[in-house]
Amino acid sequence: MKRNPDSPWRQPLAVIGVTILAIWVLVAIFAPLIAPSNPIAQNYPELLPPNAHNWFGTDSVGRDILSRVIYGARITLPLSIMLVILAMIVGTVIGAIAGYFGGWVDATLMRLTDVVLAFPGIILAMAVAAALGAELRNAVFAVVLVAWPTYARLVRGLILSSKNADYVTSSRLLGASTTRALFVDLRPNISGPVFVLAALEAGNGMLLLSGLSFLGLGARPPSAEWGAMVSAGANNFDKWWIAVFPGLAILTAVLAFNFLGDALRDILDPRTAKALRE
Amino acid sequence: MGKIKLGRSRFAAVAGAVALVSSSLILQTTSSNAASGKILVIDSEFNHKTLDPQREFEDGGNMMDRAIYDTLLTFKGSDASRPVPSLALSYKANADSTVFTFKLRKSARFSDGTKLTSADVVYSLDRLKNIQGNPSSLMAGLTATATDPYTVVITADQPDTAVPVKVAGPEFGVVNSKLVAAHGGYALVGAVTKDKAENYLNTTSAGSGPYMLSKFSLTTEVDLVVNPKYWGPKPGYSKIVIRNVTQAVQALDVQKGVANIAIDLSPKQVDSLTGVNVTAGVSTTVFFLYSNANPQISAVTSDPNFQNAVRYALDYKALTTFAGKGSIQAAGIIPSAFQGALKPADATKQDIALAKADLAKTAYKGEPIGLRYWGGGAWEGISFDDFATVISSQLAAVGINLKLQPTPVGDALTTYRNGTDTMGLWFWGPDWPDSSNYSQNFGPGEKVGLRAGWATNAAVTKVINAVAIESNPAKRASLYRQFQLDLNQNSPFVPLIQSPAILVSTKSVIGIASNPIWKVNLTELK
Repeated sequence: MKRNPDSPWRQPLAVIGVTILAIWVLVAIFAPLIAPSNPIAQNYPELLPPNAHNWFGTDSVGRDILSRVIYGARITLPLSIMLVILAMIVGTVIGAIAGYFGGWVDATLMRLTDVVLAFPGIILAMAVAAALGAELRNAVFAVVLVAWPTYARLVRGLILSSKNADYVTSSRLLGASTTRALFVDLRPNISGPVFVLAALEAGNGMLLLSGLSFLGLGARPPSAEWGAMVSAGANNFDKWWIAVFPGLAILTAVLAFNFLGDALRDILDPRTAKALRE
Repeated sequence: MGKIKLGRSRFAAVAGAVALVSSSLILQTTSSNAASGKILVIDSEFNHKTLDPQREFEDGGNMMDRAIYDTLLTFKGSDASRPVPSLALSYKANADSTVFTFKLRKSARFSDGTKLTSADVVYSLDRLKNIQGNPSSLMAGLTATATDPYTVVITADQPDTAVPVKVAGPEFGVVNSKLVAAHGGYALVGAVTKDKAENYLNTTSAGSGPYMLSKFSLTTEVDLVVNPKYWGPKPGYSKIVIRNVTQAVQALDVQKGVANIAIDLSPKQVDSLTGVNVTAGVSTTVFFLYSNANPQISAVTSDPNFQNAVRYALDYKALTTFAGKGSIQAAGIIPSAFQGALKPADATKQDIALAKADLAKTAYKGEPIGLRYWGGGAWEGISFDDFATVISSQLAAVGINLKLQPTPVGDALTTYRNGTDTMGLWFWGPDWPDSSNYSQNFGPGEKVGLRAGWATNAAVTKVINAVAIESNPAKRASLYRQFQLDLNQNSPFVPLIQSPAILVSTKSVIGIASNPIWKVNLTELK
């Protein structure tokens, strides 16, 4: 923000992204106040199309879909953010160790990264989630397992390009420890790109998590998880409202994360920031 | 409403168009053939594992094999309890139901033109018994012999009044013994390893029925073509194409006329269809809930008071509403079509006060109790996820806190069969259409009884033993009722509903009836 006080936030997409995300966060926080009905109570006739009372209609056991979409924000959003943070930490630590120490440590860790990257993400996540058992907690773990290598690759590259920079060398010559070199000298230079990546990956993570729930490997019924709700709609796809509304919720949230990621990149990346300034 | 309807049909049209484009190849063949009026296209969710009649044991395989192989007796239309002549023109049973004599018709021929004789029947029944496939238990205690080329005698070790209904099952389909033997078939003791004819019977049929197998797959499509040498009246179609299609797509296909019959639609899916024929029946599938009676699995669920609390907490009327038009409460574990079925008045009724009182007698303190079921699965249009959700909210009303455990079907079946689940939601479709199938499986120490951790109950065992040797129909019926009333009061089982069996067909299909054994008899369709 300081480097470039105004221009990125003038981009309409960034503003839209932040606004949508803010709305979803508010919805999640105030769900009990906003939702017209209990998300798991079977209070209504089944499969009602959207109407004056149930704005988003009802599902196959008579639950209000609007309430479920609202409460779904409480499950999907925090989990997406949590899994991004976990993947970021794991990936950054591994990438930093590999990049800084080099040699066989680097080779071993990077081959491990290659192995994970060699699998299509959803397939590996499915295998992990299925092996651990169908639970949301395991699905988050599975997504983290798939997501960390992207961070490791990025961080390793950043560390490699700056670990021999003069300011690091002089710090080491003055007696700074490895820990200090990594956390105090190098961290500021890698945190920007990592945060950008995290914001962009949040959307992917949410999609992957919803995908696992869609396949029955994530959220357990009756919890109102967006991916699982879309899956319920697939069984009744002449009743469009069951899948469309949770699907729109996923769409808007993922889009918002992507817009936010773009905006962050514009702010934190010196090249684009400069271009914006000029 | 008008607007909503327009929107919905437009959506269906778009979705339909997508489905049509994606399956354009299939569409081309079916629509061009449909013009000739001789091809029948059926949408079904495949569950057959083989079409070897002596190995198949699924209703999908029943439907196909019913059209390929003839049996001694058979059923007409929707009936599954009164056998009528087929290969056998008549049969006689002795007074204590241990010897059954079948007189064969002399005109029957296999599709290769050879005459069908008693030797083929005995070969098929021996093979059924000795290859130890899934349905081999149907022949347990039975022996088939031929006294002349057109007489078959089935002898039972113990009185078995179910023999005439058993032999109507497609598992008793008569194969061409010379042809099958020439292709690796073996029928005598030792057939479990020596019989190698399954692959042959999955590529070429060896039956005397109105249709022959022309294409086989476990996952995509099975084709039947008319048997030109069929001994009976010519069937209605020259070719039948049976495709593996998910429920939601079945609805679109039959609506568009891409398929003539949709086998697996639920009542709710049927509601939105127009311009089609709907044939409704009650299936013989009984959905049931159990609370494990084994104290080592759970101290809570093994308490009879807890089992009763579950029983009385459920709102059975709401369950049938959930399952849709055509479903009924299962009064007992034996479905309504069979001998000794309980009357609706005998069914368990919801009693919240009683449920709460029973629960209060237990040590249960509201901890979550796992309920295992087939996650993502649906049977006869009923989604297990939804069903379990409804049950869990009903039990929550009296203070029973269920932890739903949706599990892929293979894993769920394993823990169910091992008897290690605290509670389970399952269904039972009869292996043969007779009440003995239930007394031999749901009693204490029996197959399903043990899955529910139910090892002993002297009173119930006494009734089961009595009915096994009783040949008087009225007394048998009364014993079956007693067995079920005991189960309804004093067992881990809670029978829930009998699902509706719905067939949706285009207007061009004539003669369709919903049958609990083979869903639809393809040979009856015109």
